[in-house]
Amino acid sequence: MVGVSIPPVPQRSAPEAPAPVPRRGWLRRNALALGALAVVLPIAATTIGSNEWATANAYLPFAPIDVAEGDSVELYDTEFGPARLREPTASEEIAAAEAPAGARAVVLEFDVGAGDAALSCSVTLREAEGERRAWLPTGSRSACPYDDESSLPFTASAAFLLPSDASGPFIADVEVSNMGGEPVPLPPFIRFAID
Amino acid sequence: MSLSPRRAHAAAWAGGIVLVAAAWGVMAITPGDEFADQPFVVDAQIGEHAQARQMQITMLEVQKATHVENEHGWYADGAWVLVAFEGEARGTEDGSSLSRLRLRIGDREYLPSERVGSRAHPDGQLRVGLPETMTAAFEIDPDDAEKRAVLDLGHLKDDRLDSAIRLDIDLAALDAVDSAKVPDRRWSE
Repeated sequence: MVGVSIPPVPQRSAPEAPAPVPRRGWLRRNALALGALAVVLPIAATTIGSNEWATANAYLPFAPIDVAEGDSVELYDTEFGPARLREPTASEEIAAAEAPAGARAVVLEFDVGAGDAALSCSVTLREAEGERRAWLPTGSRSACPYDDESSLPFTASAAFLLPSDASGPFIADVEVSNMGGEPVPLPPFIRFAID
Repeated sequence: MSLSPRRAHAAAWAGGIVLVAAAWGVMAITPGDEFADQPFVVDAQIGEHAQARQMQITMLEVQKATHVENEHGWYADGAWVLVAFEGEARGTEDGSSLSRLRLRIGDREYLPSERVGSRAHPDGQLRVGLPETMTAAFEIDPDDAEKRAVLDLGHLKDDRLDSAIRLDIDLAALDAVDSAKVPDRRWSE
């Protein structure tokens, strides 16, 4: 008779007390992942947010180029400025004759130098301080005469009708767009200071 | 706690029915898409300023007339509702035009009559600091002349998520005048 050795039945250990190793807290165990989240979440929010914001405002005038009074600036290879406000001339006065009592008509003028591009420029006159109210020209919004080959220097002008309590200082925002070229994302615009 | 198989079965069915009913309830009380897009309503009163996003409107007078005439010799008979108001832009003139102006009576929607001429028509650009007085003349179906009407005014044709100035008008409470003037749009005094 061959002796068969029966392997010992593996003994199931009796219910064992929890390991004496100190349990680390959940926060501590996930510290690395949480730290990564703290870095990644703000980056994701900023990236997605700024992208959405830039798309929504893509072709609205975005970056003002501040021009001090009496100065000029170059944009799209064309010189703009200096800008000034003047009283309307006799012929312009006729158009302003229908203005209500207390209102005054002013004409914004700025010089545009010679350039190769056909430009359009729309202007807004704004109070520099206080309520910063904004007025549009009484006539056409565009102050630059449209011309396919506008290469001659000219003086752009736009008339505004202001209430009597609008006394300045003013700023004039001029949104210039290059009619021939591709639209520029986040386009710059000129902001003339006028006292 | 343990349930007998029969009871567990019944409980599962009951739970399922409750969940279906709850789902139906959620569907029923969920507002439609237009709820999220509804305009911000500003209730106007005669003689008081009503401010929308970029404009301030003061309702001056509501008239009902059977005959109207403008300042240039044009006249017409019919059922007319005339609303005179003062309007000016707030803050900026850019985008501050009066593009939506309509009178709603029941399911019908009336636009200001263009028969009064372009100088009397109230549509268009409002000015900052320079209020104008204008009159919207609505030519309505005589059957609508004794109903309730709502004048709705705003910046854009599309009123979603934009302010809407509304004036409630009880046409039955107004006496129709024999003749009313539709003045040209003009600067306020």
